[in-house]
Amino acid sequence: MSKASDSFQTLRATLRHWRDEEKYMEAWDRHVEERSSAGGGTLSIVLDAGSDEPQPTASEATVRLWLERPNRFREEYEGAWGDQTAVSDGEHLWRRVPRLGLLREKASKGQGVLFATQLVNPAPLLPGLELELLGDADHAGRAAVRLRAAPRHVSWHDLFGLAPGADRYELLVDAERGILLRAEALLEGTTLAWSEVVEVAFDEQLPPEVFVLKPAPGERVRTPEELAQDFPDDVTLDEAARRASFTVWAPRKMGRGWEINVRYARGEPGPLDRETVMLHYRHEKQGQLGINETARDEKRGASWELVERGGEAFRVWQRPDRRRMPTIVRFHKGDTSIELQSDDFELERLLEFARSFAPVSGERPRFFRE
Amino acid sequence: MTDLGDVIALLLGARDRYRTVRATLSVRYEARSARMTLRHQHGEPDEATDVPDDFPETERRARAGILRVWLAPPDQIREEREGVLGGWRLGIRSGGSWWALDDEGDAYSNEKEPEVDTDIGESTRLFFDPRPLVGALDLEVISETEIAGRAAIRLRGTRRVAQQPTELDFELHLTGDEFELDVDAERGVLLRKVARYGGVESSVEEMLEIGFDESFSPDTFAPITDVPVRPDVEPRAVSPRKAAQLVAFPVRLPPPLAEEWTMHTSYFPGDAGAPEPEAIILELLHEDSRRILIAETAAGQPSQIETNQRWQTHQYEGREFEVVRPESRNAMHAYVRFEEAGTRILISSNDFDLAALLEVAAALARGE
Repeated sequence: MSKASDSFQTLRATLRHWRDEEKYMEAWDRHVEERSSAGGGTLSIVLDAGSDEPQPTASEATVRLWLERPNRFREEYEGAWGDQTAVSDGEHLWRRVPRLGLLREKASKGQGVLFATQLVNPAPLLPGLELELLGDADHAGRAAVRLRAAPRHVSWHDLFGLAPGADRYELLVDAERGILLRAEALLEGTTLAWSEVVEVAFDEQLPPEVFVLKPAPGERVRTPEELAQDFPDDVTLDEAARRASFTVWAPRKMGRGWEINVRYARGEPGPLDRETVMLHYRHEKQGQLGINETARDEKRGASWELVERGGEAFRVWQRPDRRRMPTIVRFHKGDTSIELQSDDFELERLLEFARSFAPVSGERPRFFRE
Repeated sequence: MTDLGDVIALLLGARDRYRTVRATLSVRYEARSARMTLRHQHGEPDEATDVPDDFPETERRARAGILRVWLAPPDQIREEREGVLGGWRLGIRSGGSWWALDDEGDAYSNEKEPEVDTDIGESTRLFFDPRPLVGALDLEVISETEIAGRAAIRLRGTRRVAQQPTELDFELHLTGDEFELDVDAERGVLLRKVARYGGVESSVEEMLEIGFDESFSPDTFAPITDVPVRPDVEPRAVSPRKAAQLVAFPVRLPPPLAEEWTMHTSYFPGDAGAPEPEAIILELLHEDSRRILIAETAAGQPSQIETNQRWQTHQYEGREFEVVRPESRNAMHAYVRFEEAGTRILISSNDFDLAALLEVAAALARGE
């Protein structure tokens, strides 16, 4: 395993990935708790699928992979996150990503495949796993060694079969090359995710065109610098209010000690599908609060639990059974839809915050008495 | 020749092959740091070499000395340094508590703030638990050797290209691109580590003496009690009138604030260790939680926060101010500073633009 990535000049493979969304997130929560208690930094991210409908309980993906050492690759992903392609000829890296389009940048050493990293180069896993040899096996026409692995210190990220937070991994290691032919992550005896090689060939002559991604007719190619222009800008609250086409609102009378970061995203073209003002409140002792504001859209949150306080209606989403999932409150004021979320505050406190919102004029508040 | 697989197994299991370790190391860091070499080779910015721009600078001056370590896993360690090595002169960690003495003889501890972590033991962590190196380095067996009277296996390690770089990857990147590691043939701990950049040594750490499974006296990990721990100096809330009585410089107050604003005043007595001067801090707080901070010190006594900022001169209402313009890089922080009648005034905010701070500065300068 230590020399797996040196064991071939070229590799062509088809891989399949599967994960149980609920169990994967449960394991991720567990991983975050462990890292936090060990002093490691973690970041919780809640992905907004842009819909209030329930998300699929399981996701599958197929990845086709071509690698040529030292630094040429092509990776084609088809699955729940939208079809995407990454290609590097060693000098340039192209990525075609849903919503962002085709991006081109200078290739650097650290960049590589996203959906098979640990399978073709499992060496970085070794310090974090306690391995136990179980026997021989066959997989995808290859002789394999079966291993059981207990995590000791998981420092990697993996979206599938080596999911952080699992309490056991079952591995099939190619007996000749050392790459992983299959990795399955389990938590309390239940499979939460797996990745496996369906087909693999080593040291074939790969045609040069595999490592080039040509734009489709009319397709725009952007650099990271051009892409960055579409990403949200850090602005002051007043500036956000001036830029937004809807009224920006902010909570009042929260007390001392809050740090506020404000970002403005103009919507398409860009990573967000709509014009959004994002407010992030952080208090050293009390916790964090995220606020997203968009033009009024009554559909957002319409299927969520309805809660009324002081004659105002709020839609609420919460998962008390999930330790690190935020509680989300959605409501509408004037021409604005507001989403308030936090995993540090109870629902009633969030509703208090929500009821305190007042409009931000865009004019700097007067400092001194007339 | 020893098989690489056997050495990897040695490294992975090193941590389980001793109960305690007592070690004396010779340590030498060359003046030409890895980061400087990277800059020399690739120029600025450091992104060209995948080094995060905010990663701390490695020490530029040459350092050499002796490091003594007493280690009793899982959570007890004592380090003593002789020579010019940087770091704590004496560091002791026991459970979640730690005590340390710096070169000036000042004592530090987390006894009152258990959540404050320490770097005691970090510089030798890989010697006594080299497991992470197996993931970070591509290893090759070179030869057999002897270090500190113990049989060792010499390895050559080159950094793997990491798509998900860990802290160790960054640490190694700043140390070298190639490493020579002498692994204790019986225990798996490291006996010597040499880092090189472009074939030139950037650091050499070598075991002079090592003993395993000894019993240590209870004093080894006992708290440092003969030197009082330096107390943290915190600002305390006072009234503006009291603030003016406490400090030796004239306090300047803003004009009466508009309705949605409140002002909170605190006094900071100064901290010679930090070093930070005596200061009055005025916090102007809007009811939507946006705020402006005003720090006042005696003229000619800047706060540490003023260093490493890109100050520019700016004219406003007919007088000169020094300003730092807000930008995403510094989390939108804007600063204005000036001196007036014996008082140095620093105004900062993450919530308002430079024009707003200049309006406050001008009002303070006028002394309305």
